[in-house]
Amino acid sequence: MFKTDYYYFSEQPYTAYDPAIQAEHPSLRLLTPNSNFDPQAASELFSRYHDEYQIADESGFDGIMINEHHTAPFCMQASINITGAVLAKITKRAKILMLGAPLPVVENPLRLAEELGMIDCISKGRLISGFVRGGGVESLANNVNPAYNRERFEEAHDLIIATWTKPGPFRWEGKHFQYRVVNPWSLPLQKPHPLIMVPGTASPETVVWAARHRYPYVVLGSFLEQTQELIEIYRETAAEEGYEMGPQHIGYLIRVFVADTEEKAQQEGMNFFWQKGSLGKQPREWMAPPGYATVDVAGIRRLRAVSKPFDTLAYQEAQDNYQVVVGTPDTVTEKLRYVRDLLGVGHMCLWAMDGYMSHKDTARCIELFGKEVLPALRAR
Amino acid sequence: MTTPAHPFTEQRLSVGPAQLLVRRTGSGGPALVLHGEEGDEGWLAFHSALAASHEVLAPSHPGYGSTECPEWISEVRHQAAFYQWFLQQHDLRGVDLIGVGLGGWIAAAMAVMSTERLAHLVLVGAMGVKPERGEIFDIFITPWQQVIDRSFHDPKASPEYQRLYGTPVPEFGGAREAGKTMSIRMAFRPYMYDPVLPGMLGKVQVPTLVVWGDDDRITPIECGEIYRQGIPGAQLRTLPRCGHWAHMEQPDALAAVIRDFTAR
Repeated sequence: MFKTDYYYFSEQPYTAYDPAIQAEHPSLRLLTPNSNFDPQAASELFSRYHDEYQIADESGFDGIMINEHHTAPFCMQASINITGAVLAKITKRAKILMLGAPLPVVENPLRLAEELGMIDCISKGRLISGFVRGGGVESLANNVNPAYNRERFEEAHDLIIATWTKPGPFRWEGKHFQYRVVNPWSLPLQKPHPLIMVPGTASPETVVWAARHRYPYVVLGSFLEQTQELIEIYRETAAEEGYEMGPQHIGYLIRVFVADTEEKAQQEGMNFFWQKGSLGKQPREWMAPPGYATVDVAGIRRLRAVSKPFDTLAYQEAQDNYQVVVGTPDTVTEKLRYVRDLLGVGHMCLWAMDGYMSHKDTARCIELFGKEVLPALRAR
Repeated sequence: MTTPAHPFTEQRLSVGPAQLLVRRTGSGGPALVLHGEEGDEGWLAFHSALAASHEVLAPSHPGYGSTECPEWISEVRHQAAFYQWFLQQHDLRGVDLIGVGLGGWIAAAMAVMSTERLAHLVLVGAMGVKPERGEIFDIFITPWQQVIDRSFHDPKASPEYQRLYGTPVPEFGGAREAGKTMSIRMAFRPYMYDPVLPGMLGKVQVPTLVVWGDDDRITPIECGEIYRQGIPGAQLRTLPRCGHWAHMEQPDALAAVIRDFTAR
């Protein structure tokens, strides 16, 4: 049996807006007026979500996965580094899996390298530094030219790795970034640098890039069949690069909720549909602005295919095809074990809170994971 | 989709190491017509109308699908330098330079560089300067079909609209995808203007006509005012029942206005 690490994930959803606004703003992104944002409610939600991270840390999760989005009520984290810094201090054991810093929209990657260095030092070496390209809206919301998305991703990555591994001072004269002095007095604790992971949903380009760098690739909840295809691309690329892909190279994010009774779990699991498939309702120009991806019709269609409204699947169908796993510890353990072994993943990210789930139910879910599900999964 | 019935040739003309696709026809003084953010839509009724009085040269800009983009072109002023290079390499003189929309911005940037080879400058619904009161409509976050519809005053009454966009445009791919990508590359931020362009317009010493559709819902007419005020001696005319893409919606009226202006 291979080793798998289990990570707790929530998007930190902002749930305090009036759901009626979705009639006017179906995609709930970019142009949905932020007059619907109540900072008092957000302040309370942040506090609650941070408490839940502490419970996950104490309950035995191997890590906590966090993320970042902009102009998006489904995720309150406008800066993944701020959540990372909070976790560095309020948790003790869990790895901090940042999936991830949206490199193309970062204007100063040197500062990002410094901040990640601080998070790794403050957390005593618990950082896993994920890097993402970000969806089209992240480019639009940050007003960074989407036509340079991939170029900026790759150059920012190269600069950060150089910053972490090459003694300063040195100069950087790139296409998108230039520094007369790279010489930060903030470097990661882990050497040569923290583990890097790369998430994705569909783009083969990203899988190939991750495999060439031997970085674990985390599939963000795509259908199992498509996930297997992406893993196959990783395996082939690894072979071309002269190494054998193992479970440590692959991760999978899955929506999952555990409760004491099947009825309760079924009821709470519907929260994964709370935004009524809003993401898939984005115009193509937001999801994949021209230039964001290579001018490749098939690629863009694939991107949309996996971004289709989650709620077009009947709830039962979503459970049948493992897009959502809900139930008691026993039933959930069995299903997660099936997915883990089918995909052969060394990293399982468990998206265990969403929508209007209460703190009490979320805390109970995390506890049941810690007491029953995770030990059972680790046993076999 | 049928092409307006006017014989024209398609040529590859060298610009340095690049090979520019140029459609040309007609006789008379040379008119270089620069398309805009609509992209390379091929031979247009406007080109045919203008060919009655001019030798029309209608290129497909680097990066817009038919002309491979040299690595160094990523900004509007690079396009302008590219087309100045084109005029120089082919020793074109007495050119009537006509730019529409984003192509108007390229034309204005060319004129700032040099008017030596130009006889007249015509800017049609040109981007490139920042409006003080209104905003240039954001075509990059709007579904393309909506951008097209908004660029006409009355799409239903326009034969060019019916010919080019009468059946819904494909959402992805093709020359339009390449063109939109190139426009984003050049004009994403600042959006559709060069902050220093107005300060340089006073250098333009060539008879200049600024033409605006009276119902331009993409580029506010105050941009036309900025061009008129900035370029010494420039005139501003509006076309009735006309949106942003005047060359598509009122091809004959636009050609007549240009013919009238350039004949002086």
